[in-house]
Amino acid sequence: MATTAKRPAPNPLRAGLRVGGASDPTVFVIYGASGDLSQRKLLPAIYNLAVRGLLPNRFAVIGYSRREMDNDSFREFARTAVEKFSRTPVDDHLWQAFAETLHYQSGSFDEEGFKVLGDRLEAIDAAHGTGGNRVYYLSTPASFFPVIVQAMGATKLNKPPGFARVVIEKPFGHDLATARELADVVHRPFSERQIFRIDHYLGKETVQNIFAFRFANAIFEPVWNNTHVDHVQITVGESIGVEHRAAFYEETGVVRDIVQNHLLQVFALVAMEPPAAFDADPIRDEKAKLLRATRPMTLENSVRGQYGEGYVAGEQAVAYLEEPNVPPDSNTPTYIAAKLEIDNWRWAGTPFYIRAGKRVAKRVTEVAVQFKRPPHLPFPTDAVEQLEANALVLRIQPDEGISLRFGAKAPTPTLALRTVNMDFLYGSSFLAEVPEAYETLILDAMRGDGTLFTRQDSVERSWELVDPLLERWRKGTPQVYESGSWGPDLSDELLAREGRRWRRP
Amino acid sequence: MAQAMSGDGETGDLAAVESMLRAARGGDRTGSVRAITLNLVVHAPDSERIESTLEALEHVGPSHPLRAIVATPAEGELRASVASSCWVGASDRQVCSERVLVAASARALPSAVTSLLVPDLPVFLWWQGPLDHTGGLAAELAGLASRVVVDSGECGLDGVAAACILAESVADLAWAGLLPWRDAVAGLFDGPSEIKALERVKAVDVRGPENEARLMAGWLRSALGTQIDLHREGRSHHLERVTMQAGDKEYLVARAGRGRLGSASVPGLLDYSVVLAPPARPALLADELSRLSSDRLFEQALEAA
Repeated sequence: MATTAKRPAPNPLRAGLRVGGASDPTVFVIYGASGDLSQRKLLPAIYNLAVRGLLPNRFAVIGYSRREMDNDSFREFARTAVEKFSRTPVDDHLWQAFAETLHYQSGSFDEEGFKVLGDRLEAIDAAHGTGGNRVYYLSTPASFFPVIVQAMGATKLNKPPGFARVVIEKPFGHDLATARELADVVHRPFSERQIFRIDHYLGKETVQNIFAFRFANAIFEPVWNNTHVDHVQITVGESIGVEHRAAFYEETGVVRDIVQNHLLQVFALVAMEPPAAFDADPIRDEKAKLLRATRPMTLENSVRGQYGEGYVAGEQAVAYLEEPNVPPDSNTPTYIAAKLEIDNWRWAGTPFYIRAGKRVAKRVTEVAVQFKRPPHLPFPTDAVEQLEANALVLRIQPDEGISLRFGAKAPTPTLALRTVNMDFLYGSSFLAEVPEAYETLILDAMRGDGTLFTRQDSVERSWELVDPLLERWRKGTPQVYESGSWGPDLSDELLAREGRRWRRP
Repeated sequence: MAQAMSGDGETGDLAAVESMLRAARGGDRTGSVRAITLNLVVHAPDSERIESTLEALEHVGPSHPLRAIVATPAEGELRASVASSCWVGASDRQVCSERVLVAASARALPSAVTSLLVPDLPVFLWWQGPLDHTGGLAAELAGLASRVVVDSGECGLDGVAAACILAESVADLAWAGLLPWRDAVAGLFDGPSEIKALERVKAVDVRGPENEARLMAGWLRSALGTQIDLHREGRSHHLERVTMQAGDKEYLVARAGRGRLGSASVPGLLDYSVVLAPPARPALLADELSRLSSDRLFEQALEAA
């Protein structure tokens, strides 16, 4: 296993500078630089970091892929990408300086190609003073990951004079076995601390706000447990279907696409114990502990669905089986509802219900904490018949904010209590433009901050939680639900049998 | 970003201000929840500064929903005018700020300001104009504040030193505007071999205004823990160039034309571009309103300047 390069003495002029960005000189290598992810996300994100003044002063990008391009044509390619996909418009003056940092090297993903890349990197270090510090971003299909990291090890790209970090995109395997195989391959040239597994969901400001909400406010944490919480509902709904990604979706389905990564990460943030510090290891330790305390998903506590035809927001929608490139007998689930149970002191006996699906009524991601009813209501029965239990809803997207549901006296002659919602929109306190998740995560990778990246033990545990269900779901068919609904009827029954019901987001 | 609405009114009775602000926000008609994060007391001694303050508040409001109390010493009866402004951003998100302009005698102003502060929220004082520590209005208003913001370009480094006597936490907008330059100068020495060269730096040459030059030298002295001589030249209102000599090698950051960019020069490396233009003054103010604690680096630089 490789070790991290010894860090040189810090620059004393950097101490206390409130720059907020990355300062270590860095070369950012994009494998698959001519691809879709690079074009849509990476190059625009790096440009926006430049706009915000958060890139190191000594910085270079080197794009690497098989496509033949020289520096000038790569700069043109990058400019087109930024013009099309950046959240900020191109500033011609700034672009001129930014473009000088862009370089390109064409080659194949093998030792021969990487030797040439290594020479190029050394030349850039010498000319630009980037000190041999490298962030390698694998922006290629996952099938290339093993080939690339093996060739990097063979050509010593993993051991530059400075630091080396490698960023990889999900999927981190297709199941537990393949996740471990991938980890074995990546761990040969790189140590765990050098690996940054990106889940763009964790880069969203809104997801990070769960940390702030839970651990910066003393009034919520004392009731954040099984004594006061009846159950928790986590919803990740998408109004769109599979669109042009049928081939990909047939391989993944809703569990691999949403649950194993995004949803379980949000679940972990909501349910984990407070970390000792807002640092990578304490946070990832607590998330891992929580996932270890969670029972694997079972057939009995899960429901799968597949969208049929219907209407979503007034638009007619075709059934999944009628989507282009979907086999007519596909049993790929596009919806899941499940009960998660946690065996620890805080949550034992308090279920977490999760649901995720495509072509549901609307796009929404939220966490609803449903509190227990008061032990005794000292009011006439007819006065409280409309009164619901307290609920706290953390809305992650869209309209990020918090809603608190509580009872209040209605201004009527006879005593009557009603449920009211108090809504807080984060936007009512902060109107600043929110950075893209990729900006946050790329910057963190350059700073060497792994807090928002997924560690291998959590990846493996997440697969352990979903694998038994995936195995059982290989056969049989999902229940069809109408597009534009909130999922199949069985999903409602999952909660109804325990005297509960889904909230309508 | 669009400004959604504003309401205004004038009164000689401070007790009426809250109800006028409530009406300006939409009052019971909307039942809107007020989300305000801080109080900003502004000393604006003349009409020119009142004007520039209002412009700055338009910039600060979207990122810091606040109650601004703009205090102007004036003869005669106390007068107050109120307004509420809202800004609409992406996804129709809206933030609102409140503004109270108070004109009263210097003796009456502190009590007027005190009665207008939103309870429990931090208080910032943005002091414009000359400043000394001998008491008076500055001392009384600083006594209400968690943090005092000044501009050494206006009150001089002596004025900043006076503010440090009056308040625990002081911010200097001129120092904040030096951040891109300090970042670029620090960047000259980010490589391992350049860090060693820092030991040989004995002097810094600055082309630019005196205050900035002194602060730059003060920062280098305090950060490096050594005596650095300052040679200053030029009459420009902005920094133009910073040069440091380490033995026979020269490290340089220089502005290029009037744009945002400049260039950095390190011996043995290709010259590279750096962003040197500071954000506009209102943006600097907005940034300082995000902080409550004192800036140790600034205090050390000021002491060594």
